Amino acid sequence: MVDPTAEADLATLQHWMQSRIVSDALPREAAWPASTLSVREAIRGSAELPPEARLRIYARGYVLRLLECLRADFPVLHAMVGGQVFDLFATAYLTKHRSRSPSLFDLGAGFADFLEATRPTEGAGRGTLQAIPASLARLERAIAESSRAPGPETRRDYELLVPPILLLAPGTRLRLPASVRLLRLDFDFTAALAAADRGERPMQPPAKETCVAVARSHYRVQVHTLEPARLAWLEALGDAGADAVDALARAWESAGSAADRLSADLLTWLPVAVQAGLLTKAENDVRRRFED
Amino acid sequence: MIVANAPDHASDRRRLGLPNLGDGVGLRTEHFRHLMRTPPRDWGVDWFEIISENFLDNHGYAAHVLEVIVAHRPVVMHGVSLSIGSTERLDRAYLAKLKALAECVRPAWISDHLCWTGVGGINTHDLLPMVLTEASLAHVADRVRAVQDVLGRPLVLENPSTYLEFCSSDVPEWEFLARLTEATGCGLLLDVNNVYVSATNHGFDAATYIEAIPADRVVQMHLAGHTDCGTHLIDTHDHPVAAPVWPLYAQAQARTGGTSTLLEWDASIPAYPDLLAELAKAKAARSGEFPAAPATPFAVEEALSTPIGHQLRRAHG
Repeated sequence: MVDPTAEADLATLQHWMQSRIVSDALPREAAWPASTLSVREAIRGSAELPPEARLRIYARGYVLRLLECLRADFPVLHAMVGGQVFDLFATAYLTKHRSRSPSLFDLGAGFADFLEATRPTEGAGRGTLQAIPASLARLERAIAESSRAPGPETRRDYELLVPPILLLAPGTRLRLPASVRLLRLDFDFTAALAAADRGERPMQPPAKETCVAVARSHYRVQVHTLEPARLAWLEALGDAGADAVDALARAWESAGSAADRLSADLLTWLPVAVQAGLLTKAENDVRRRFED
Repeated sequence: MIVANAPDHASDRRRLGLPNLGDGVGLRTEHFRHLMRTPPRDWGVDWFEIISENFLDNHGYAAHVLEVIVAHRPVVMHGVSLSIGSTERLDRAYLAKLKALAECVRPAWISDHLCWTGVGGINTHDLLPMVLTEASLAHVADRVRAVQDVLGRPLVLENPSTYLEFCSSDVPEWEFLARLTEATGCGLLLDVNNVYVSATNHGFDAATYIEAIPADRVVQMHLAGHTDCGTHLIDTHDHPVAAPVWPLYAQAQARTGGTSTLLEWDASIPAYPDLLAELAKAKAARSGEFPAAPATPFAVEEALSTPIGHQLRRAHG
């Protein structure tokens, strides 16, 4: 049985140390006010180092470790803006955001939104230089999520290996695998991603409204640039699934005249989409129809 | 499954009755391609250790690789977020995920560190040092028992590398761990490099620490490299094992009668054959042949303890 008084002391010490580590690492953070403990009261010095220096090892390690994680999670952005600028962005993010998850993967979940919310507003509308980091971070987060989500690799979609016209028959339900992410971006990052893959520094991307599907096939994530009508159709299917023909109607509503040729386009595109991991069956409708 | 050193059933009291798996390495993204293209018989190790958190909620290529690995080698789950020493409540959701992963992986054992990672709902993702007192011992023992109840097996705890001591600490770390195993039945993951790093940083004798650890509770050992920062050492996991660590390792192996060995390397990760070459030194050390290790690297700033960025490197088929 633990003495509650001693338990409180242990809690005080841990809260104190954590607040000192974080406030030393990220100066805008206030030290935990509930304790008046001094460093020298709490920590022993060594033969080589005073107590303050020993505590700084942890403070320095705290921010270095999390910076290292964000650099790994957003490698293209890091390469594009350079280490110094990236670390400024990342340090600012860490000042506002504390990890509350056992998993490091959750650390970067809010980075794109943070960059969007904190970018300079004057002369920084959509498609401007200042908008690039948030947009690229959003794409990189989607790539990371796609790489870890349940994907199409474990399914045997034999039922999708049928003439495409049958996939568009009324009653056929298709859906997006959990590994798909659909984005509407203000930049075309195709060349930037390719440069990063080659180990080169990615250059500033062209400002261009770009519809993108991030998908995984055979455990390889790819970024597909799509026609707006195709993206609209995939959005209409969603991860819950929908009737393929109903989704066509909704795509017409959102994509307008761009969807005029969609149904004909899908006949040639559907097999490609299935192979790319963009689609899977929501129900066993196709086989059941074959057997009727 | 291929195990180089057969388990010793004659002395079941050792290692909590768990097997000596032989020599292993951490499963790292950098080596996935090599492992998936190499026949399992040529992997060159007896077992693998995974960072548990990397595989929680991960259904991607890493999970596929793990499935292949598990089919051919024993695997151990080593966590970094259990926070066994924290005054925060145990994270039951995390424990449930850990247990679910264990049901898939069927690990030989599950380990984490004697440390805390955060309070107030925050995870610093660092292995923060414990204050070592009678009160904290009782606190940790309660939590170890609770975790063992959830996992349905003994927990194995690693001695961390530490860079400060609290004024109120009055129980030596080796005694703390020994009494913890006695009170809970948990096992020990003896990180020999951490013993050396902490001994250097705090001025105690590493050989005394090794001698004081309950030998029959040691289930596994870690080896790793560190960095000399002049006034202290940092457990950076980014270099070969330092020369002074090998005799300590041999001492620990002799005391335990043979225990699973794992080489940790988490930054500046070498090619797989080079990793195996470093691991091979462990076998030589057990025979009393201490390798001529390169000089310990020196750094003043930016040395990072227990790097974790490798956990986020993307893996793909």
